[in-house]
Amino acid sequence: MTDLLALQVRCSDQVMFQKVGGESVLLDLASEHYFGLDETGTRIWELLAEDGAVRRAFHTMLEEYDVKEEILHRDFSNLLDELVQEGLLALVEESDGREKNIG
Amino acid sequence: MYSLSGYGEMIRDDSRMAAYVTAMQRSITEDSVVADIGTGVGIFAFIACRLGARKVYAVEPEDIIGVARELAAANGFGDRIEFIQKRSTEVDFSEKADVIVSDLGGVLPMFRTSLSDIVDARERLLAPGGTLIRRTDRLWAAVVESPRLYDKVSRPWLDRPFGVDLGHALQKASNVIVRTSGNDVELLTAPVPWGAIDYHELATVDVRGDIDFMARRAGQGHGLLLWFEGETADGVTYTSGPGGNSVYGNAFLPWEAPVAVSETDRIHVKISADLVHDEYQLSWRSRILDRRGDEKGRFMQSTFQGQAFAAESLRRRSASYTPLRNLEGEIDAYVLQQMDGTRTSGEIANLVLDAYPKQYQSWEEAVARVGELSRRYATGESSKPPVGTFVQFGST
Repeated sequence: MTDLLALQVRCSDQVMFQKVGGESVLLDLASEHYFGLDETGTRIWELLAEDGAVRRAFHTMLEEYDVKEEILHRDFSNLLDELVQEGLLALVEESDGREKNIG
Repeated sequence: MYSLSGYGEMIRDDSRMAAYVTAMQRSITEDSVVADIGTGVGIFAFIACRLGARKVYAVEPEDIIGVARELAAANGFGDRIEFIQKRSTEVDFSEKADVIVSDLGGVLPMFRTSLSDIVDARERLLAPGGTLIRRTDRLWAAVVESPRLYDKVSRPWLDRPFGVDLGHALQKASNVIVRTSGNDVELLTAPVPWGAIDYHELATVDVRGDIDFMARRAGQGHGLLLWFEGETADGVTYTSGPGGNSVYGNAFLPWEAPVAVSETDRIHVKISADLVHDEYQLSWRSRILDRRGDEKGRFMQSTFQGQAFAAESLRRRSASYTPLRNLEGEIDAYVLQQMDGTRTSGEIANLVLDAYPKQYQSWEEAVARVGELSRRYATGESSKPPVGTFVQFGST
């Protein structure tokens, strides 16, 4: 199983992002699909968009939100999985820079 | 959809008309079948007739086609022109067209479904070896200084009107395309081509380009100016470029903040136009570097960033929302149910009045509602009233 925190992500350059209040709208130009992220999803996206480091984003979320680590790990993982499935994010392992699917 | 005066302005654009007419003169013969896609008031269809075309299809989804019909009759072209009030993607011709004339773009050739409509027409409606007019568009850009245009974009949000801070909206307001005549800009760089559209070859309707500008004079960089050069036939071109007073105008893409540009600064820009649900999303990513390569400005902008979204509307549009029909929806559903080909709109309006007496003050109001739904959802096949019948419309 891939170590979630060891992953590096890259936001697709086909994705446009706009904050709406605390939430956000994403438009994938490739699929022409719109997506919405709630407040925490938006914060995760913003953190990942900064430098793609999942570990840093995860620990920042842990500091900013009153949440148990295992619950955040589960929700974070689920969100990344969905974003990857939809082609909004590409996941890259830190060690060798190869792109791969989460799982 | 243009107004009648808008069509008039297009006809008065001499360089545009000259380029189209020259191309039509070269390609239309007495045996030609011509299609005018987006005929408007019918001008290209009439010119095709004057050039001797045997048959002309004039296709236009909007009601302006009614004016075109009247003008055709007044000029004696009525027997050669078949007017079709539909989108070109919905029509079939009994004979393929030897020449298809169209001008479906706006300030840029990428306008709503303009490119996909031409591709569709080329594939389905054009005879093998047929001619498309226009045949190519070349896309141009320059970095510009324009305090007036920039003020137009930014001042409402920066000036604290009525003592209110509207500055938060500036970022959104500067992610828009401003149509301009191009007479109020100074070019800080030479114009650079960033894309070309060959309508005979076009396969994808998204357009992208990378541009490397070198500033040729110092000034305040306020954004980019885009325009196009159309080619209607071999060597026959016209431009919508700045200063030409073209009917198309130019597209000003502001930067989020002005940048003091020095001579020999380099400006890298990536532009993309992506068709999303029948509207183009334009994005422009600009990076301004001085002669040592130090970054003076960097902007990632798009018309998507300029769109207004409201959280409640987004929730209603999401797949996880469970919608419940409101009263308006119920009335519409009721009306649509009555449209089974057996009742007139007036009869349906009577039923609506009985079913929803509190919603309508008069029969005319109900007919207007039915008429609007009929315009959108009726097949268009209907028995004609006998000659001399008085027909009442709820509204037009």
